[in-house]
Amino acid sequence: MLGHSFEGVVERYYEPLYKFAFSLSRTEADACDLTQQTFYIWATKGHQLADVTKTKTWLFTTLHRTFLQKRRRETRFPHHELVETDADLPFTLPVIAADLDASHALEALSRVDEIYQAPVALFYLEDCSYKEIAEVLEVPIGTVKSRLARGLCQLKKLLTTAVEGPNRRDP
Amino acid sequence: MTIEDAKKTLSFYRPGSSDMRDPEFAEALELVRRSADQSRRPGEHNPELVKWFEDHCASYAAGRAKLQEISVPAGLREQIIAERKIVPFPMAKKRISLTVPLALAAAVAALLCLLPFVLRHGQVSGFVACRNEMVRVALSPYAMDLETNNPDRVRSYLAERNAPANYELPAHLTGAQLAGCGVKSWDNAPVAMICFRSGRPLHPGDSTDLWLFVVDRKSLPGAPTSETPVFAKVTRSMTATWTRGERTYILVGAGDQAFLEQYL
Repeated sequence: MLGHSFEGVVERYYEPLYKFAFSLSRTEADACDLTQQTFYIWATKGHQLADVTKTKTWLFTTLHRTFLQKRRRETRFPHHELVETDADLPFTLPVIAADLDASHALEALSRVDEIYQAPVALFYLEDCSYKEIAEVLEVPIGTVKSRLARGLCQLKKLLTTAVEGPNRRDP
Repeated sequence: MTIEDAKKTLSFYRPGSSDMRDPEFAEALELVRRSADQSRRPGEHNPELVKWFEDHCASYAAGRAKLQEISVPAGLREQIIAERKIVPFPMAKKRISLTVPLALAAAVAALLCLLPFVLRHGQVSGFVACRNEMVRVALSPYAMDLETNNPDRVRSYLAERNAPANYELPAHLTGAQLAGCGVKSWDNAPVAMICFRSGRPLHPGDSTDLWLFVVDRKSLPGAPTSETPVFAKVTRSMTATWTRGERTYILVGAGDQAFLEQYL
């Protein structure tokens, strides 16, 4: 019986964690490292988590933090906080064409502003409630939604360009 | 709730997810249901919201399906579980039952019986664990304690921190560009980490791609005792280990054996 044993937690979460990591880093090597690092931290600190129902959120939060720490060290990009305002709603979801493969969809996601990428990835990838997404990203739910709205708008534009071609003119 | 309000709310709705049970969406979903019912009655067509909602659900499903296509590398789960074995077991917060002391007593008795065997053969796993840990250190996000291409500064930095500083670099490794160093520890013994760049294009985010770990040989029983390097692949890296004098060396590189052999 695996339950909450280390093996059980790995079995249950390694695939969604890897996919989240890949959607952020977009390379297999980095995604593997992020996933392994997350479980390494879980192995050393996971026992401190009192509420086992928070395991999923804990793992996703840890992976996201690890990614941000790595990225900040790499690029030393300034941490730019947005002025959080209500997004222009309602937004419409990007229509992802059937002939676009996953790599093109990820390529488009990679071109979305970095601050919006994690909310968009979690929106599509994992069955996390908005409360859980807010916990993973460590921001309020309202901020999750405004970032999501902006991120999806950017993604829609990028995918529209990818499908229709950059030279197509709207009528 | 107006149709526009419902659209705003349902913009965040993800069909097939826990959102179906989220009260935040209940009223808007009810409006969609009512609109769908009305659209089936003659003369009461109000299909706009229904059509919008169907498009929204289809787009979400397509987007989710695309990202779910990301394939997970074979062996990742096994690798994660294998690495767990080098992490010390934390104290679990579990209620101690009567069976625990009994089990502990039995385990102690068994350990005493096996002690001579463990002392003879257990050293190998200590070395393997150390090597795996050094690879993990090399591949994980880290910062060099000192960034410099000056070999004298590296040696003095390590010496000041009681880490092995009188190491001997393989002749060809001196051709790689020195990038800096750090001090790690293994089993309470200091480990010198000397970082190099091979000159190949670096992986995004990496600042080095060759790492030499130097450990006092007494701190690493079970390690190869020969000066001839022993190669072993650990995760996606290659390692070469040898012992010379009082030092054991572990060279880690992001590549295959041929890549490492260039530097030995």
